[in-house]
Amino acid sequence: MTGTGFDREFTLDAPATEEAVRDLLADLQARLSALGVSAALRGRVELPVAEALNNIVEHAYGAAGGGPVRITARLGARHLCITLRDRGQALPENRCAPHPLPDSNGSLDSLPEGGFGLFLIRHLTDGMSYRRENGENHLVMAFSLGPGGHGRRG
Amino acid sequence: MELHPTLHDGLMIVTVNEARIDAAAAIRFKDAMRITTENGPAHVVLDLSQVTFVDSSGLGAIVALKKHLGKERRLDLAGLTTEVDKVFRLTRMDTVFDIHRDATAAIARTAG
Repeated sequence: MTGTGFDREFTLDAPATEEAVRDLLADLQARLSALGVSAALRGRVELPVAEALNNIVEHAYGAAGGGPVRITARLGARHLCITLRDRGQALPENRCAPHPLPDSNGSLDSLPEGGFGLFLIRHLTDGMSYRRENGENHLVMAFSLGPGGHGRRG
Repeated sequence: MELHPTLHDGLMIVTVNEARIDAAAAIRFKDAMRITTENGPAHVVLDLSQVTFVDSSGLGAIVALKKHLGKERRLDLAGLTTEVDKVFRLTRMDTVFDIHRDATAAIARTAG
């Protein structure tokens, strides 16, 4: 593991189902805590990872259901990187397009009940990238450890 | 889905006694809330003080509940914990709901 800039790393595997996502998020929190990751950073990590896992369950696998998902977490001096891999369908055009916030200014009937996931992932990470490779989706989410974290908040 | 409703002078407070309203719980939450609020007072306050995590599925379920109650009734929120408050602010859904500090504040404001 030398030369990568990341000195601590672990991997979690699970089936992509709603119930398994809950356990996976709890495992991730416990493993990050054991590595000494602060409660504040763990709080920042939980929602974007949850949204990305929900997307894998609902969209990548969808009706096909329950294929494998792997989380790899790598902790370095300045960043925590979380990579999700699955073998479901690719994102449209094999890319993660910019995702605006759904409009909540309309009438009661028109209030959005979904479409927040990718917006939240982009907004709550300090960097993200997506690629399709060998029939797998790879989503990488980076979180800055320093006080400069939350770089996208402004 | 454990919901605890209490009535206060034309107001129903529903306390959600669950740590998470997530994708695994969203449909159960929505169904249980519809049953709990059926034939109840027009004004409903959802007390989320025991809830530490809401994802976009949970948020969608809360919005769907507001739509289900319709224009003649009203759904407010109370007791948002740190991470839950963040979800509502980031998605601007804090502008769609009246949000009370806690259930006691919601009761006081309605009585006043």
